[in-house]
Amino acid sequence: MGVSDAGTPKTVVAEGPVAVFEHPPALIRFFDRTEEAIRSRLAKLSFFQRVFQLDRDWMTRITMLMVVASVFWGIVGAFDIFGFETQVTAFALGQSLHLSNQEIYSSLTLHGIRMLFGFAQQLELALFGIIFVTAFGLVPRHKWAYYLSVLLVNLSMVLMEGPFYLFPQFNDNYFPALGWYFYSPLGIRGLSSYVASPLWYLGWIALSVGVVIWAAWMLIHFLDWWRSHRGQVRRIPPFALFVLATVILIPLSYATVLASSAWDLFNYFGVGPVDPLANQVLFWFFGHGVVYILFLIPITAFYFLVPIFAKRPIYSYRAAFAAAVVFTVLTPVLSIHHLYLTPVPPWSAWLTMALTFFIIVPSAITFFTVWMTTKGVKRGEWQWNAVTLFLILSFAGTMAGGLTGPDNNTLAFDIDLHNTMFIVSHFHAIALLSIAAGGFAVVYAAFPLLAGRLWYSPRLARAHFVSTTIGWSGLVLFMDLLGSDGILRRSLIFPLTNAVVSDQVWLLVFTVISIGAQLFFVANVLLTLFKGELLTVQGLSLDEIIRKLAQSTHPKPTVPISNRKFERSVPRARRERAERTWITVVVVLILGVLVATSPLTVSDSTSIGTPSDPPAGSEYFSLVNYQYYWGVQESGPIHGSFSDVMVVRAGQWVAVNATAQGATGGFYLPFRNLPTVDIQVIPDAMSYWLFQAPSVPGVYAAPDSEYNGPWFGQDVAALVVLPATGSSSLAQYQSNGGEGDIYNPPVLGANGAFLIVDQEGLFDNSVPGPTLTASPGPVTFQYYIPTSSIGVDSYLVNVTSNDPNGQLNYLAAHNYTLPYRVGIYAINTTGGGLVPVTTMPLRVGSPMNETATLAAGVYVYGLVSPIPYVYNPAGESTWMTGSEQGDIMGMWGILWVSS
Amino acid sequence: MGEFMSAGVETVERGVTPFVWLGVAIIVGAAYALFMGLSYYNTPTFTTAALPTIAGVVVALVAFLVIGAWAPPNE
Repeated sequence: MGVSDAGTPKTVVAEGPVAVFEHPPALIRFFDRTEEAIRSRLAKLSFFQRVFQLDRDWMTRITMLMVVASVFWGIVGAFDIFGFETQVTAFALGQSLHLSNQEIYSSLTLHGIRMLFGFAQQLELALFGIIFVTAFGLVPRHKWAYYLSVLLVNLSMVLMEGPFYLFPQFNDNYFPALGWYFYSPLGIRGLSSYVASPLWYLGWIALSVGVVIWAAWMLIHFLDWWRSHRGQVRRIPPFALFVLATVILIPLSYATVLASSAWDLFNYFGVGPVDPLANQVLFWFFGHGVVYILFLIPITAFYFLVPIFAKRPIYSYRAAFAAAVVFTVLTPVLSIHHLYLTPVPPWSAWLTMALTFFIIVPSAITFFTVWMTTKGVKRGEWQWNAVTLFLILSFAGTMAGGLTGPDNNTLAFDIDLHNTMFIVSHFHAIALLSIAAGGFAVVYAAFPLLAGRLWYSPRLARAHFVSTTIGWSGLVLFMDLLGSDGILRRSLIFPLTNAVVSDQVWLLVFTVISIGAQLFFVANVLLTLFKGELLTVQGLSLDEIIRKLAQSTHPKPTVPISNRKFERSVPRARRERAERTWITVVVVLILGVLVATSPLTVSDSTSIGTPSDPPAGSEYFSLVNYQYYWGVQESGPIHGSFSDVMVVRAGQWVAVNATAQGATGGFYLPFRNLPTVDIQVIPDAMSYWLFQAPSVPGVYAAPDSEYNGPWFGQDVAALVVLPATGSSSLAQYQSNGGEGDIYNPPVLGANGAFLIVDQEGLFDNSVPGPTLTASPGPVTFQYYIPTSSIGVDSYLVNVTSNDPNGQLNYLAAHNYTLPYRVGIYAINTTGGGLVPVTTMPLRVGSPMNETATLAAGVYVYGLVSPIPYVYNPAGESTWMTGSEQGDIMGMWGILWVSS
Repeated sequence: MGEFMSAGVETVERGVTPFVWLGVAIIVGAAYALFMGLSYYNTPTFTTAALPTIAGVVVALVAFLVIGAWAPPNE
């Protein structure tokens, strides 16, 4: 490490003649000259000089560039989720919605993309690169390959946003709304109603290439070091094993997303075969791999930092080595546990479940080894500075998030959890409390090395830790509470029970705390860059430097930073015996859990993938998940065709076969008193399930459990359970809570009801609308669509425009009457489908009186068929910017007439 | 990392050791994960679908703490 006269590091990394080329090519010389010209000019401005460390070596400069870029994407990603959560909370509280469905789902998509890849992964690449080079004393080469990697990673973030319009007026409606994991064929032109810009797929390709270049750069430098130290080095430091694991896993994982994105892009232009399920399996090899690539941040942090602060070596090197190897071997093969509820072969689901359980082993080794590393450290030898505080938060957070992984991985349990907020809670526990906390530990340990200055404010560091811990913990907790109720992820529209509304409001509160907490960090970074005490490192080892940097985050440091004399008194055999005992216990437990869960796993997976043999008298549902409603074809004792309505008798067995068009969907009945029903349905594949309908007649909501495009929230179907014979009231249904299905619509008396349509085009903020009850005879109630409810989120007026008066102008021109009819329709169970009892034109701005004399039975009211809708703000939809259309059905409900 | 050792300064021993604090962190984190899983206790498939896995986690946690307490220190 280069050190100035004052001891300030002028270079973080070793410098020296680097003869990559004897005579650099003209292009490289041009780049060098251009960079030098830009650098010398920007360096004259103090702000740029400090923030980008323009007077330092190129490795430090590029690392600072990556750190600044990752912070930038982190801030933008935080705004994304703030926008999403405020809109969802506004829906919960009945307030006006400020963004369109397309914008809000884009926010959620870009939140995931920016946080995972722009922020977390870029920070990981930056920190791993500089730490690796510094710790190994390497002379970095291939500067422009590194720059190219950084350029591609950040370019990919821009490409994935897709184009937006600055002129004639700003229009950001074309940001992608796919989800960070994107399921083929969603978004693909010609195959899906929602079409993303092709730039989305190009962005993924750019990201893949950029990250793989980084991995190649790292590998080249490692091999350089290995060749030059052959025979001199007994072993690689434990933390470096996990950096190497990251370097190996990146090409293995990114190769698959590169392949699936390229496949999608070919399909986008009408080229090549289409196989959504195969594409999804391919994608999830990456989707799972990237989680572990990021998870290696805290793992590396533990192996790197805990021995430094414990002032003693890792407990067992062999155990750490074994953990790194098993992580690397098992991570790339676990794709299918994200697709348990699809019709994959049962053997593949079981095998993936078994292998996923076994990936617990390296984590178990790591936690034991790291924990035991501190055994014997005296209280007075350990300092709770920002580095060690974030380490312990990451330690607890990995337990909280990691130990819910086995729940998800148990296929039969996954039926309850899949795609609910439980999953969101699980991965935010990992992403925030484990990965980001571990990342902050590394940042607090390494950033002063980049800045050449000690941390400015220990109090800001403490405030950052405390507020971040509170914010993230609350956020994860309330996501979980929503999930255990059965609330789906990405829900913009959800049942407004007191508990759900309260949990959602608290979720927003903790989101705000989490975002606000980072201001302490940003302030400390800026103050450090401009006012921090100059760092002097003369005569210090790397361990001592790290302790010194961390010490600057402690208000009253008492623990000396100097190394202590350490001589082993406990032989390796004794330590390894403890490790072996622990590993044996873990393996035995995994085998035990596998034995206990395998029969149900195979049985459930088989039920999804192959048609069952239902008992006599069963009802047969042939379902097609369209964007954005269910097409229902029934045969059996009840037969007929419906949209979003499924009719069955109490206690009857139901054999489902289901597929999808345009996007993956999910048939979900989130019962809590009965076994949950949840299967994923995929275009060009058939999913099956056999279940027994509730024995209590009633209206059970069946939300689509897979995101299938920006009108996702509107597609909730109803399983209408008729009495086995005769008629029946809803009293028992109400008293047992509708079998615990949280999505069930509220029950209201029909006579005198005044149903108001909201901004999403739903009755009383509910889809289906409230279940109305009445006695046989005259029934009278009213609908009302306020003119003020008509906006871009209402699918009822098929005019989308950036002109705020576009829809209202349409209404005025059409006498406030829409080209649809609303009414009451009888459910004909013998082939007639829905039979109109009374209908009338759909009007806006004045109440519509619904009056009919009805016999006992079950009816559907409102607008009972899907409405075609084209979303095209300002006419700017093209194949290049993206486009959206679909058939939406939200303003409807069930009318239950019984004596 | 952590392997370059030289003479140090003796410090006063008081309070809880980092080993214990990390043990507490493990218990708190694991307890939260168990709370998440156990919140499905009232579902009809809980015993067959979820309980074996959750029980496995509980036994693992206990074993982790017991073996950690029994294991020799990092001396």
